[in-house]
Amino acid sequence: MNNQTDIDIVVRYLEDPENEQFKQQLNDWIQQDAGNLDIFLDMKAMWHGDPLPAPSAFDTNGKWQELNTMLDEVPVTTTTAPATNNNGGRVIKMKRRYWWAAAAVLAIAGTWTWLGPGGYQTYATAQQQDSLKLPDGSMMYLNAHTQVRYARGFGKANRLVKIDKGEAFFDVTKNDALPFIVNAPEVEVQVLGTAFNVKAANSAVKVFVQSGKVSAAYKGTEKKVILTPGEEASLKHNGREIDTRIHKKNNNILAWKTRTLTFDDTPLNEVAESLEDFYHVQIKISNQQLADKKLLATFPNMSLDEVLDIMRKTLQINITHKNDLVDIY
Amino acid sequence: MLQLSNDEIVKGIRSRNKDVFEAVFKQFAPSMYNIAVRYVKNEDDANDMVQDVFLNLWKGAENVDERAPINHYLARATVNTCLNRLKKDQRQEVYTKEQMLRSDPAENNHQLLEHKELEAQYHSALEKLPDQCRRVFEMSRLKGLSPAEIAAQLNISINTVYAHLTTALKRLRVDLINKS
Repeated sequence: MNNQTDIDIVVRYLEDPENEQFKQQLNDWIQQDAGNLDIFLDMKAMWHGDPLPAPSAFDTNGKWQELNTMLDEVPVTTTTAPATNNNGGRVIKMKRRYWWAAAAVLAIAGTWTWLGPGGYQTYATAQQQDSLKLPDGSMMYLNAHTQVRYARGFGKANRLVKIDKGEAFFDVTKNDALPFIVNAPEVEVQVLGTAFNVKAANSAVKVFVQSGKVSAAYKGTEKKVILTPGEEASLKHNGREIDTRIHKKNNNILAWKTRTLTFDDTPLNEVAESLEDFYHVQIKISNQQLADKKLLATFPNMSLDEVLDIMRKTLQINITHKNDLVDIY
Repeated sequence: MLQLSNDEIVKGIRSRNKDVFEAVFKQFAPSMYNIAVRYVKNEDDANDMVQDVFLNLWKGAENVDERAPINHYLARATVNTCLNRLKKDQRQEVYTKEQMLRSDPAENNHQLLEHKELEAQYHSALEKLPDQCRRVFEMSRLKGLSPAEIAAQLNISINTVYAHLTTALKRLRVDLINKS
């Protein structure tokens, strides 16, 4: 990588304005030269499709006439022309190099800003869950306390969803031409057609795949994983480590959506984790000898107290539940 | 000005429709020129660079990606042309050389005059800006503070600083164009 910040930081920032590293580099670069701030302001306005008025030094009509004449002289007969032509080759190469590699990431940052404020639909859930059909036919299921956005051009120009916080499950209709992309804080998830879960938690973004294939990557880096069904990746904030684990067929990652918790000889400490997540409570196992006890049960759409009551009876353990605290002993 | 959706623009470019090229050129070339001239610090080079980007767009028109806004392509192409034109460490050196080669004193004097005139116009145009917008612009231009410093001093976000500067530039340029 280039250790000297140069003008390309402007585009990298515009593609991903939330990226703290880019913000910092942009600030540094702006201070390197008196002209850099204007470069940035012009580029930013242009990027948003609303360029600043012409600076007086530029002769727009005259330059257009000049270009117009030149265009008539350019041979553009075959598709090999750009490749064999030196000048053309340069830009084409540039396009190939940056375009596809960055297509996913920049499309996101770009599209939101291109449309400007109000150019996207925001959906937020409070206490309740919700589901909605996206314009491309894909289904999006939102857990409680979740906020997502998608651009107005969704399904035509792009398939981009931004998850600001919370957790969502996506059942994606296949469309090879338009990759389905979920933008979570610091992390980008891309698929062609599949069903997967993205959870933007405080400490990490977790991606779990039910079917199909999904890639999850730290934005602006090469760090990524390809996930297959049953796999879950955890991408920690402010980190570059991706942990992956394979879950058993009976796991409770999607329980928030199915409303069913399933335990298949699951150790009590793991049961506690699932219950904490599902019912938003804190569970303490005071007697650690109980941690090895295993639970075989399915709880379809049951209240926490109903579940705890069954656990008391089947595992022969003591449980108290007060407010958001559960004690097992 | 032709009002076109990105779809129509890309279709027009792919089929090398001159009207579409003209609309795109007129909309974005001035900004591209402004970017280039501030980077290479030479008006002739900057004019060439803008023409280069559009010539290359014309030559490779059928390869234009229909999924991305054309202005994003142009922004990237401008940046890459800048990077190709001058490698970072050569930038200042070449600039100095170019200035020395420009030995026509009349032209320099003329430029100086033009600059002073522009400055005077700037000041009268500045008066018309909203207070906070003018404050931010003056802190940037007259005091030479960075956007980050301005944000800290006025206790506003850096994006607000950028927005004020953009508004200021927009209005000032319109004012200056109308006067000249």
